[in-house]
Amino acid sequence: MNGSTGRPGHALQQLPDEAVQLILERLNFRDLKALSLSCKGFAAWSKMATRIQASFHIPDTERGSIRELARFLEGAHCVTRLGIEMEAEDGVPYLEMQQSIQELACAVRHCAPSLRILRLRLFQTTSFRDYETDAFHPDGLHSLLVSICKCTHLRMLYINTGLISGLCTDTGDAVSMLCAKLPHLLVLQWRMAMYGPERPNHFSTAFVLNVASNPTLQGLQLLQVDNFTFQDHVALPASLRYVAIYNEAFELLRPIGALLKVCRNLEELYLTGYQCCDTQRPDMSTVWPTAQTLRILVLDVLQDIKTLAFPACAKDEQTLPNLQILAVRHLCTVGHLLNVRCPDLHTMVLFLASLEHTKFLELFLRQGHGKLASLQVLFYTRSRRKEQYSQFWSALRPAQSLQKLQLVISATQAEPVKEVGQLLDAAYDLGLQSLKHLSEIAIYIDSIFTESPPVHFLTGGDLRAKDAPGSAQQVVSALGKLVTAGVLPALRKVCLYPCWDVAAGCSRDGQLPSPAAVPYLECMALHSPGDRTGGEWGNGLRSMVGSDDAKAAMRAIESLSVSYDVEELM
Amino acid sequence: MRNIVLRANDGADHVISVAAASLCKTVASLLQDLEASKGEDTDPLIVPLPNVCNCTLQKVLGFCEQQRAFDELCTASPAAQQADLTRQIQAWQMEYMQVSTDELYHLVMAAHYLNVPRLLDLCTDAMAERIRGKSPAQVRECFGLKPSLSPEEEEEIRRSNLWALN
Repeated sequence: MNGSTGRPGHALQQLPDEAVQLILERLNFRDLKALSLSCKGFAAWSKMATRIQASFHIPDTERGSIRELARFLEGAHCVTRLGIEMEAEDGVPYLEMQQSIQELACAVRHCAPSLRILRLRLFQTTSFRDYETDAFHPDGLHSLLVSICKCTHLRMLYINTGLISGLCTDTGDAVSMLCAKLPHLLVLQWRMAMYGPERPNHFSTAFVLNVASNPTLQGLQLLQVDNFTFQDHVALPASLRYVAIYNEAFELLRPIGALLKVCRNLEELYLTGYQCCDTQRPDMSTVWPTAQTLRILVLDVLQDIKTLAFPACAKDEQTLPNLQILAVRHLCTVGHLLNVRCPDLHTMVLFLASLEHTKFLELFLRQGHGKLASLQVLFYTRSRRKEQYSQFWSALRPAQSLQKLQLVISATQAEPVKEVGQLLDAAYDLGLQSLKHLSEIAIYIDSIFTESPPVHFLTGGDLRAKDAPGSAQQVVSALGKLVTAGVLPALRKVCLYPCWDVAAGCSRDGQLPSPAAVPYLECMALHSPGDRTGGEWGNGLRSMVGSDDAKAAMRAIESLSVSYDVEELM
Repeated sequence: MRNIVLRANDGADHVISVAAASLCKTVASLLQDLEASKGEDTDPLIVPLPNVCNCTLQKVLGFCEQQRAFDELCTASPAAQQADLTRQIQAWQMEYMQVSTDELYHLVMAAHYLNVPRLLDLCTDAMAERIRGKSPAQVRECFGLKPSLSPEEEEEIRRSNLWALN
């Protein structure tokens, strides 16, 4: 190439600062270290790094590597972003762990004046316990928190302490302290996932960074915390717009109204993973004053619903005037919801533990949610009686504006696939006339257990001719009856997932090229397992549902909970 | 439509489409200025680029034309084909980045001067990839550097940063 210097390394040192920054931000701490020691020019480069990313493994086989980072940061006055991952093996000696945390605290302290974004992921597989004294020692966490509190310009803090029980079992006090000490903090995420990505994950990284980098915002905007107890003395800041609390370890002991009492700007509220005693419903009524500004509400309360009496509705009708998206695990456990009007509600995700619980759905829909356009229902099924399917369709009668219905049928065996035709026939037999605007139906089959044999709709071969139960053709025929009978006159799109071509012995993808068989349809998609479909859920539900539409409702519900009690649900 | 001619520092001319030229923000800005001063003139717009050699300019223009084609494909393709398209783009970019370190340096400089953000991203990523996971000696070897740090200076860096090689 013309203009070659013949000395590329030296020429590289002439690169403009902007390009150098782009290169440096793609390198981790170890690469920067090697770069620094390669030549004078690159040593100067490494001092320009504004973003440092480092990962460490404990026990530290390269002794003192966290200490190296701390020392590097000692003279670094331009580091604005610091990301550290520390993974500890099972059986790490207490003293070594304690020392590593202290060194980490030291590293944070050194770059505190310039730091704007701090991400710490500390994974450990054992509790932080001193076995000699049989006592937990939260000293390490304390020193780390003290260091973080020195980062007075911090705009975003993400910390994952894993499940280090000795480090912290209740983040309530720590969150209060951080909110008080960090006046510029816009985003605070305190997670406790032990391995891999945290769940539930409502907010994408891009969204969080967007909030954190908005110069016009003041006060804490986004709070996402795991295992946050509702201490009486803690009230969250009034500036909050996004709150997500996931409690694996604690029951919903106190009304959350006190916690949110001054939060009058809330747009999104995710309360997920809560345990609740079997005989008493959580008192959600105290949330309504705060909920007036809500756009998204997710309520996930784990409860043995078999022992609950029919929910008592609130005496007075409540209104959530701005609510657009609602996801709820058991409508019956949150009785107050049954008497709430949501005039702007357009999307609802619901888990029906049993088709018998459709009465709760009907009660809710009767309140009048005139803009409800999209409904996702997840239900578990084994063999059902046809009248139960009729109840389901009957419950949908008040939802006259419904345009899109997504049914996620979670199954352990193939029978439910064969029953999809019966489910649709039930609507025909019922003579349902109210769903005039329903233009799209998607039916997804999912396995309850990952080890379950996969369940599919079948396509291809002789199945089409035979209209066999469980075949895509049977479902299409049933839908055709509904359209021609005027039950679903607007239906134009159908999606079945997953599909398996029995003739070809492979998964089936894309459109069904048979317009003669389904003249009323404009679009029919038979998606194969693992397909990524649609992006309709990008309209506010963010990563809780995401673009993988086929799993949308499943993930919406599953991500909200710790585990299933399948016996309870069946 | 008016022709756009980009002239390299050795006088070589390259005709480019307006859509592709618009990916170079420096060129787009120059075009706006020229359009404003010359009005509705139909003569080719000649944009002199004194900081870019012919060979590098060819390579940059190849990127712009291909990206424009990919952009059109992305707009026209249904959602189901987007994943395939993304794979195609990645494969093309990987092939495109099969250049020497010297060529890569000139591409970075040109992408920066011409203000082509996507090319700058791609090039700096490729540059980082050549550094990633290497020891100081391997970094020197990759970039054709001789050790420039005296033992005293190296010790000073180690001491000031207190980095110790393991």
